[in-house]
Amino acid sequence: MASQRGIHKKMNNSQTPPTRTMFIIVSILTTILLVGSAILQRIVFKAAEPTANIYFNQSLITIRPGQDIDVDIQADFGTKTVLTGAQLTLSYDNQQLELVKIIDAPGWQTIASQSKTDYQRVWVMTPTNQAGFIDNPAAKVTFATLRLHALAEGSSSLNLDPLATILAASSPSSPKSVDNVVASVQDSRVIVTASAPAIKIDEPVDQARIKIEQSSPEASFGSQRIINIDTLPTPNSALLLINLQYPARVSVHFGSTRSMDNTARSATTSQSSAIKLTGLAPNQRYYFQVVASSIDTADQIVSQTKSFQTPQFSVLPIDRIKFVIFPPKATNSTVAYALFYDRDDQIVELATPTLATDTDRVSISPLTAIDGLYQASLSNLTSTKRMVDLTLSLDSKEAVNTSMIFDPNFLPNRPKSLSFPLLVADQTAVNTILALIGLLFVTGLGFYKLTRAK
Amino acid sequence: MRQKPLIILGLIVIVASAAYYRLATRATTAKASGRLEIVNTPERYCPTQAQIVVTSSINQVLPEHDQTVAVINCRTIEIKSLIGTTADTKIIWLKLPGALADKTSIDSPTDYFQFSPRLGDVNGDNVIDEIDRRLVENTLLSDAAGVIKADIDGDQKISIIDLSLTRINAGVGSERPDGKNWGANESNTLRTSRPGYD
Repeated sequence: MASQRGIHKKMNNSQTPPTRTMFIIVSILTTILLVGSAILQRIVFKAAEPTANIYFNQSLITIRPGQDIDVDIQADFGTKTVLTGAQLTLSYDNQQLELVKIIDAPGWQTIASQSKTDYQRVWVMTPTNQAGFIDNPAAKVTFATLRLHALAEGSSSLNLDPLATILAASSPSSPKSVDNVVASVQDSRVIVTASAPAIKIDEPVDQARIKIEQSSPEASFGSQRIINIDTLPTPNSALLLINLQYPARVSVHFGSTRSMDNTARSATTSQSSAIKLTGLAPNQRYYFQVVASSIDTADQIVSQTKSFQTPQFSVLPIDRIKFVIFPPKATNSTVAYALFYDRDDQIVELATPTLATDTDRVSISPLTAIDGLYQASLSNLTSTKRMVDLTLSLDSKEAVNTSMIFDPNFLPNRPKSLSFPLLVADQTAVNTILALIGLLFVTGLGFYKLTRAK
Repeated sequence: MRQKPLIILGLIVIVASAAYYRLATRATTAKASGRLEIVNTPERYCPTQAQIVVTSSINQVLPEHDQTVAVINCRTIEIKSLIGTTADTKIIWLKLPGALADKTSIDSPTDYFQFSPRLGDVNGDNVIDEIDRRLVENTLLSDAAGVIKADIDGDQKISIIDLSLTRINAGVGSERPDGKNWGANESNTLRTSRPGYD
C-alpha cells in the first residue's frame, strides 16, 4: 500500500512540474501580449513645440529730453520653425515718450495698426517675401525699429503685453497648423534726463520692494512656493529656469542695480518657466527677483533678491560644462541647454557639441547657439512614459551625461485647496489597477487549481 | 482529467486578457470604434457640423451618404453610420467650416482615423486665396463678433494667427466627386468657439 502511494505520489510529481511550467509560460506570454498591445495602441507621433523670446535690443535706454532714439524689437528662436507673422502690442508712458514712427525691419511689413489708447499701440507684421512666411528663420530676428521722442524727464518702461503679443509660427512637422510661439517677453527701462547719456543709474531701492524683501519671502498665495531658480548667464543675456510648486505666471524684475528696473514676463501659465533676460553687458553683476502670480494676478509670491555675474567670451580651452534639461520631467517636449566654460568661468562659444539619446523614440533638434548658450529641443515620439539618457559630446568624445523623464500622463500640481479631497485617478491608473486585480485573481485561481490537482 | 484545471486556467487568462485589452485601450477604443478625429487644429477651433460625401472605391457616390453630420465635441465624427458595417474600402469626402474639402480613405467601420484640415477658407468657396486673405486683413485687430468667419481659430479675435492660416494653407480643396458645389456661404452657425480654453 505504502509502495502504491509512493508510486502514485511519484506520478503526481512527474506531472506537476509541466503543469506549473505551462501556467508560468501562459502567464508570462499573456502579460507580454497585454503590455505590448497596450503600448502599440497608444503610440502617437507628436511635433516639437517651437518657442521664442521677444525683447527690445536695449534693456536700458537713457536719453535727453527732446532727443530721438531708435529701439529694435527682436526675438530669439530656439528651435526650427516656420514664421508666418507677428502681432505686437506696445505700451509706453505717453507723458514721457512719443512714438514717432514704427520702421519695418528689412523683410517685414506692417499690414494693420491700431492705437488702443494714448499709450498703447498694436500692429500686425508679415514677411514681405512671396511665400508669406519665413522657413527656419535666423536664431535672432528683428521685426521693427521704434523711433521714440523723449518729452519730459522721468523714468518709465517700454512694454510688450505678453498676453497680446503673438509670434505666429508652425512647426515643420505640422505645417497646416499655426500657433503663438511666444514664451516670454521683456520690457525696456527708459530714463529721460538732461544729463544723458553719461548716467550712472543707481536709484534708491524701491521702498515697496524693500518691504516685500523684508517680509517672509515665498509665502504669499496658498501653498505656492518657488522651488528653485537656476541661472544660465552668458555675456549678453541670461536664462532663468524657474520651478514652482504650482502653475503660475512668472515675471522677473532685474537690473544692474538693486532697483531692478527691467521686467521680463512669461507669456503662459506654467509650473516650469524659462525666462530670458537680454540686453545685458558682459562682466557685470545683475540683480533679479522672481514674482509668481496666480492666474488672476491677485496673489503674488516674490522670491528673495538674487544676483548673477555675466561672464565674458573666451577662446581658452573648455574646462567645465553646464548641461541642463528643463524641465527634467515633461509630457512630450523639453529643452536641453549647455554652457561651456574655461578655467576662469568665462564662456567658450567655439565649441561644436553634439547631443544624442539612448533611444530613437525621442527626436532632437540640432543644437543652436545664441550668445554662447547652446540649446536643442527634445520631443517624445510616442505616448509612452520613458526615461531618456542624454549624452553631450565634444569632438566626438563623450563629455557629459544626464537623464530626464517623458511622462505623457504627467500633470502639473494643483493647489490643494482646489483639489477634491478623494483619490484622483486618471483612466490609465484605473485600468492598471483593474488589470492588476484581474491578474491577481487569475494567478490565485491558478495556484488554487494546482494545489487541488496535487 | 489532469488537463482540466489547465484548460480552465487558460480560458480565464484569455477572458482576463480580453477584458484588460478593452479596459487598457478604453480611451483609444472610444477613438477606435468607428470615429474620425479632427487633428492639428487650433485648440479653440470648433466645427459643429461637416458636409460629407461617401463614395465607393470606384468613385461611385453613395446617395444615402451625402449629408451634413454633427461634429461631436468639436473633434470627432461618427463614421460607422456613414459607411455601414462592411469592410470594403470607401472614400469619405469631407468639408469642414473654414477649411478646404479633402478626402480620406476608410477601410474599416470600426477603426480610428485622423483628419487634418487645412483651415483658412473664410468665404467657404473651397479655395484659400487672396480673397480670404483680404477678408481677414480687413477685419484684423477687431473682435470676432459679427465677423466670426474671419476668426478661423475660434479665439474670438481676428489676429495674425487667422491671417497666417490663410497664407500657409493657400490652395484649392477637393471637388465633390459628383461635380456639385460644396455649398458656398457657409452658415456662421456651423462653427463656434471651443469652450474651456480661455
